[in-house]
Formats: sequence, C-alpha cells, structure tokens
Amino acid sequence: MHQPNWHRLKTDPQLRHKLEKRAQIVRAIREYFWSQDFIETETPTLVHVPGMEPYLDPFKTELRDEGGKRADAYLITSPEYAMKKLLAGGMERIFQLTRSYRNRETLSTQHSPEFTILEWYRANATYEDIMRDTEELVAYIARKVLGTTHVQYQGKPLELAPPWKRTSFAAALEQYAGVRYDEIETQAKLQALLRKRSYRVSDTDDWDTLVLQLFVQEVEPKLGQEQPEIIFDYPASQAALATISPRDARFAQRFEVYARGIELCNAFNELTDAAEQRRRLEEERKLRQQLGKDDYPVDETFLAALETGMPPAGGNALGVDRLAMLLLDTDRMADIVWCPWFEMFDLS
Amino acid sequence: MEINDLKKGVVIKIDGQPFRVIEYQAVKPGKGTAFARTKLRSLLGDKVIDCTFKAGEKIEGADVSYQECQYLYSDGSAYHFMITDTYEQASLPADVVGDTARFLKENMEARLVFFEGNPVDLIIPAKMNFLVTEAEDAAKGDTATGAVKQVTIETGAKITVPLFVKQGDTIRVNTETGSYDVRV
Repeated sequence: MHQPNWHRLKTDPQLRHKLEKRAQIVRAIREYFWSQDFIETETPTLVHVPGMEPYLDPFKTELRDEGGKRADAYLITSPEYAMKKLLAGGMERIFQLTRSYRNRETLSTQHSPEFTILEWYRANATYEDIMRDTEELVAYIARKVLGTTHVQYQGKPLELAPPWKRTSFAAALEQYAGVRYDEIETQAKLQALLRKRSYRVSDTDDWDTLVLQLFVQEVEPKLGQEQPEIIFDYPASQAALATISPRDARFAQRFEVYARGIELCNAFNELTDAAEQRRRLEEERKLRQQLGKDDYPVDETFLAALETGMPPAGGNALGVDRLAMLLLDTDRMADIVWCPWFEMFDLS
Repeated sequence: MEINDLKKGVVIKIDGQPFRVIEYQAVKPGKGTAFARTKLRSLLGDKVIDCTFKAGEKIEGADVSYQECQYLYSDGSAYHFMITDTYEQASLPADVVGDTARFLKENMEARLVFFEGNPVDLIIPAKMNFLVTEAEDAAKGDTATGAVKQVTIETGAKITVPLFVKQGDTIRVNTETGSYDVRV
C-alpha cells in the first residue's frame, strides 16, 4: 500500500535530502551536549520493570537463560529510571539518545510504536535551567542544520531563537480557552463548564481527564504559533515525577514545549524524595490495575537508588522524530524516519 | 467504535446526526489518557465542529451505504454521477464535493455515500494517475537537492513535483493530500 522508503529514495531527491538532514539533527544534538560538558550514557532498552505511567503500554517479552530459567522483561517506554539512578550515583550532566517503545498507541503514518527520544538531566539544577537548555539546544540545531533559526513550517514562519514565550498552564487556559483556573478547580464546576460548551462528558471521567480534554481541544492547537511556547506548572495531580511548586502547591514543576500545536517535550524539576516517589508509583500502579493494564511491581532498583540520595535535578524528554518533522517542514513521519514501521507491519 | 477506528472519511453519529471526519489527529499528552482531536462536517448541511474523543469512549458509527458510480459532469453548482448498478443518476452540491473536485475526471469511477437514502458524500480513489499537461523545463544545471516545481495536470489542478517531471508524463497523486507520489 505504501511505497517503502528504500524505493522512494531511488526517485525522490527530496526524501534523501530530508533523511540526510535528520541524521545531521542527531549529530547536532550530540555536538551540543558534548560542548556543554554532558556525558552520553547508554542505558538498557530491555528492562525488568518499565515505567509505571498509567496510560502507557510497554511491550512485554521474557528473558531466559540456556537452562530455561526466566524473568519478565519489557522494552522501555523512556530511559528515565536508569538515568536517574546514574544521577544518584553522582553523574552530574548526562544525556542519551535512545529508542523507546510504546504499544497500543493510535498507530498511523504519523505515529510509530518505536521512536527516538532524547533525555538529559542536570544535577543541582532546576526546571528553569532545563527551559534554557531546551531553547539553546533547538536554536543550535536549527543554525547548524538549516543555517537559520527562522524556519518555515507548513507555509508559515516560525522563529526558534530564544527566549521563547512562557505561559503557565493556568494562564494558558485563561488566554486560549477563556477559563479561569479557580472556576474549574472542582469536578462539579469543570463538568458544568464542559457541558455548557457542548463537550460530551461522562460521569466516570475524573478531573484530570476532563481538564486535559479542555486543554487538548481548545488550548493545544493555538500554542506556539509564531515561536515555540513553554507551558509550565501543570496541575499537581499530573505531576508524574516532578516536584510540587513551593510557591503554589496546586501546581507541579513540570513543563512542556509546543510548536504549532505539537508537543515536543516533557520536563520536570525531578522528584528526589524516595518515600514520596514510592507513594506516587504505588498510586499509579493502582490506577494501572483499575484500567486493566499490564500489572508489574514498582521498580525497587530505582527506589533503592533514590533512597541513597539523589541531588536536586532537572530533566527533559524530547521527541527527536517530532523535532525533525518540525525543522524539516513535514507532517509525514515517513519523510524523516529511514524505514517507517508501516513498511513492515500490516495490522489486522 | 473507538478512537482507534476514527480516520478521515469515517462517518459517525453525534446526537443522532451524521458527521464525516474531515480532520483527525491522535494526541497523547505527556501525562494522562490519549485523545483524538477531530474536525467533523455535518452531512446534513455544511456545519463543521471541533470534537475531541477520549481513549475508551464509545463512538456511534452512522449507518451509511456506499454505491459505485461514474462521474458524468458538473454544471457549476452540482456534480452529477451515474450509479453503476442501476444507471440511475445522482448529484451532489459543489460545496459537498469541495476540494475533491480538482481530481474529478469524466467517466472516472468513484463511490457515493448514502445516508437515509440520499447521497451525502463522495469518495474517490486515494491514489490516481494524471497526465501532466503543462510543465516548465527544469533549468539546466539546477541540481539542488530537494528542488521542486509546480505542474498542471489534466484536470487543471496544480501539483508540486520533483524537477525531472516533464509535460506528457503520467504521475500518481495522493488525492487526500494533493501531493505527488511517483512518476508512472
């Protein structure tokens, strides 16, 4: 059905140009972090316990020795647990470019089950430092690979030079959806607002799902139109592995970057408190069980590392394929991935 | 159906009314459940609405039927077709055919979508071959990688193609995106 890339390469000089530029983007990422005194790590993609994120489905396999002894094994959904262990071990600035895998996603020519993720962590730093890293990194790549920070995406200009626009989650709801955060802080108020706006709301949807639905429909498509936009301080209930804001406990110190409505990365002021981390992982495990997801125990090797003390740190996870699509002005993943998944798989 | 079954062209029912998915984007936030962000066009009028569906949400499919047809002609305000099986004629207003019109060739085969007995939509093949009727020669020595030009195809539509495409060539076009696929 789809012509495979190796075949397109023969006749389509644009495709070859884009794929070569993608390789240059990957090289520029490495150059940037090495120039900033980061060390490149290579942690496993095959692990015993994958991430606990309730809405992700890791690929499951098993590890066997020659005698037949076995253990559960999974492909990572992100390398974050292993990289944080290295922070606990005293590494101060680390980055990694690796493949991650997520099963049961909405697959299409835009979404791949296997993708390249860039993660980096800075010890004794905050998420504000990571915001600056992100701006500088993307601007560096654009200058290096495209010769300019002034790019075109889908027919409209996008300026990548820092500083980028910074908008808190609450301010974004107010600016782009006309909703004041204190008007939707209870489940009942949020439900009423969404019903008034003709959303299809079911009584079983929790507050987090509803506020995300509002965000996805009315805010996200408007973000980062002229330049990338940093959305920071997400609801504390969506903290994941981030610290709670000391300024306002309703929010977690987490940020995402959007360009033209597309989410590029998800970053945290990293949670370092082992007891709190255990509590959140157990909570997420419970939610996984309720959602009928594959159930596995919390990663004790990760918690053991945190218990010995992890320095305050900031970290970011950035989708390299999405960044390549943005920089190389394409909305087709097959233009920036050497051999897309749908050349091999035919789902039925 | 659920969000994984949604894609461009699928017809669903919202509050009893049929809507066709005209834009579809899967969204997976950094934390939390997946969504499908869609634009839906009403098949009973030209209203377009934004609608976001959650993973796991049940979505009602609309009971539509399809009939093979041949495209006959356009009188400007409507497009006329002949149903292949019955030789009956059916027509669609120009605003329903929309952008698809630029790929219509006389006597080509297509499918009409019927809802409650009335034609409401048109589906044409996802890939179609067209004769290039106008193309400028690429300037000699212009070998810049990724260089493209615009050509006109037999229906009058303009398509962006690689420089090597010449007048008289036949090219395959993705009719959903309007993009060049390959020289045939």
